[in-house]
Amino acid sequence: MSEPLLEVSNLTLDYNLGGRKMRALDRINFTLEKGEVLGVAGESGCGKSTLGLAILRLLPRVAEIRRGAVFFKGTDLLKLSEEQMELEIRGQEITMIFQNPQNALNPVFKIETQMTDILRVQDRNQNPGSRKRHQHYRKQAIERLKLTGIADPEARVSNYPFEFSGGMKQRVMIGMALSSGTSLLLADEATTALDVTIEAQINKLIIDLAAEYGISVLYVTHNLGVLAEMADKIMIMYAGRIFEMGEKEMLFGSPRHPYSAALLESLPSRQKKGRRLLSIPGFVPPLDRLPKGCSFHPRCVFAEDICRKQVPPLTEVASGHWSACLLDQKRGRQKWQWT
Amino acid sequence: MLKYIIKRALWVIPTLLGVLIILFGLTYLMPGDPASAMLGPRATPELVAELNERMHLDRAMPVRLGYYLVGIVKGDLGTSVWSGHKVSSLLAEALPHTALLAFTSLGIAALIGILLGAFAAVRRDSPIGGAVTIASLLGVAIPDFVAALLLMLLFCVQIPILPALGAGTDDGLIGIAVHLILPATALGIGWVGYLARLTRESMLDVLDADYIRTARAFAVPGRAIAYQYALKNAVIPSITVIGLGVGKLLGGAVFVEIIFSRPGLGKLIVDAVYARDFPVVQGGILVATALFVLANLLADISYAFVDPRIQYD
Ligand SMILES: Nc1ncnc2c1ncn2[C@@H]1O[C@H](COP(=O)(O)OP(=O)(O)OP(=O)(O)O)[C@@H](O)[C@H]1O
Ligand code: SF4
Ligand SMILES: [Mg+2]
Repeated sequence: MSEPLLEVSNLTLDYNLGGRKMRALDRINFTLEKGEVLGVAGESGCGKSTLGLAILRLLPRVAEIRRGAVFFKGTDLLKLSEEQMELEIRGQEITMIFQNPQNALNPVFKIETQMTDILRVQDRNQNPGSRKRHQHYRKQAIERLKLTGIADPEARVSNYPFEFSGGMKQRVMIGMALSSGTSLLLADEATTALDVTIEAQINKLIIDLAAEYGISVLYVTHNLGVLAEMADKIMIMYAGRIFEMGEKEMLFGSPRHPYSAALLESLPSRQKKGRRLLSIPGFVPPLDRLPKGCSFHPRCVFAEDICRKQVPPLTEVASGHWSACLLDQKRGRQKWQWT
Repeated sequence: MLKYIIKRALWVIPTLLGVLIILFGLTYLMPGDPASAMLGPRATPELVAELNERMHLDRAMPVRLGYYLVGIVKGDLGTSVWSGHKVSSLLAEALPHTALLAFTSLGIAALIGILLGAFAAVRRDSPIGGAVTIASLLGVAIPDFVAALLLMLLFCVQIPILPALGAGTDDGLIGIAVHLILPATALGIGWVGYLARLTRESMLDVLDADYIRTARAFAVPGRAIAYQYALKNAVIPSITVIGLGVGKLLGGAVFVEIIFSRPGLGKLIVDAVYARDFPVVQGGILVATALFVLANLLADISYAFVDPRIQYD
């Protein structure tokens, strides 16, 4: 098989907070093929956003990558210079939709200014020496707004961000990120700020455009239900680690990790009649005080002695299906029935 | 925007009216008979009578207030007890000097301070940041008049390359500019440091903001991010401080004018206070207040231009 579009290998990252080291990503390994949609899910704080930011090298200053590589079309992005990232990768090959739309746009510039600036950069990086007028990019900006379903884009384009709702800001971001030249879209909770009907619309838009342009998508969400419709592959994260990863059908059909099983059981659509809604007891542990052994063991109803002592490695338990549970690895496929 | 400006401008009227009434009331605080107090040792019965007549001092309070207000509306601020000149023409002569000193000094200080602060924030790991902090602490710690005296000693006495006294109005534009260098520096040096530090702090915050990360994610060039995307946000606190600081600036200008013996509002008022030339004091303070209020108005309006969210509050 040809090389994958994206290969993240052994990526390990700490946040350094006044002497406290928080391992936000721990030996992350996965690949993403051209045109594929990889859904990333997990509870809050498990490192989903950090992963996206690490790929584009937009991490805050307190973050430090300890090891690993991010191969994109064969080159390790972590080895590129800032200039190369700017000229070749960011906003060009890889775009990102950020999680918090409220603060993602500059409050003191019009939407028009922010979008045309970006469109101009994209154009000049693609066609060096291009000298198009502002009006050209403005039209393009209006097109993008129309594409994401903003009503009256001709007038709206000259608004300031504070005149837009959170959902509309998110659409602006999506409009900026969905460009035909892009190879990889990092969508971090792209639709969380939207209401349910619009969420479905926007997700369809992302999927359709991605399919049309052949864009691969890393689709981060805390909502596994959405992934049932959108994703090809699923990755379940917990406290900086991958717990389970595989084709959507395999993972949804027969989850190999108790954590994934619990997440699936807590989906309202999957609730069996007469049973109470599952919510996993306890909390995600703070990253600088992870429990020994399997970091999930204090919350896992299946935990045994061995779980408190050994760290479960991420292992290929079936072809293309990876899981990090000791009991699953020792005894083979189990039915992780939480309720 | 226009609506906001008009609304904001209308507030100037009650403010100035309040000051007027206080200034008017001050005549009643003078001990004894105001006319003799103003005339001091020169008070002959004839002069006292003439002054009472001219300033309506013998009339009832409401009538006097009426005369006073009508006069001001007509642009008549009375006449100097000492020189007999019209107060309005004395002010018209003094004002340009003060305005020139205060606003060139502030303008240049703001430009240098803000750019320096932004630069220090962008190069946050270089020693420039520390240098800006130290320089700004020094600048703030030294009062304007001390800076004025030090500069005068250094550049007029030790290394006499710059003029010490006057406004240089007889020597044309170059003369005016050269005479402005030291007083403007004395008045502005504290501002440079203060604004640099303020801008550096807010710029450091802004550079970590999500919207800056967005711009980086889309490869907006670093310089545009720093000096457009970030600086326009980071400059907002400086505008507030400048607006609030205009009073301090005018106060500083008074000292600096006196030290450098420059004609201007400060010198006019101080001389008038010594001479007990009450109409001049009144008119001078009124104009100084008006300047202060107008400067705040300008600051508010430019604030609204920089930060579009303001107009809608
Ligand atoms: N700037 C930062 N400084 C310190 N710690 C951070 C920082 N950003 C994230 N973290 C920590 O890293 C961990 C992972 O954060 P991240 O934002 O990647 O989680 P997430 O999976 O995206 O969560 P959510 O679903 O809430 O968006 C969290 O424990 C968080 O506290
Ligand atoms: S390793 Fe043990 S604690 Fe961890 S998920 Fe598997 S059973 Fe639960
Ligand atoms: Mg997140």
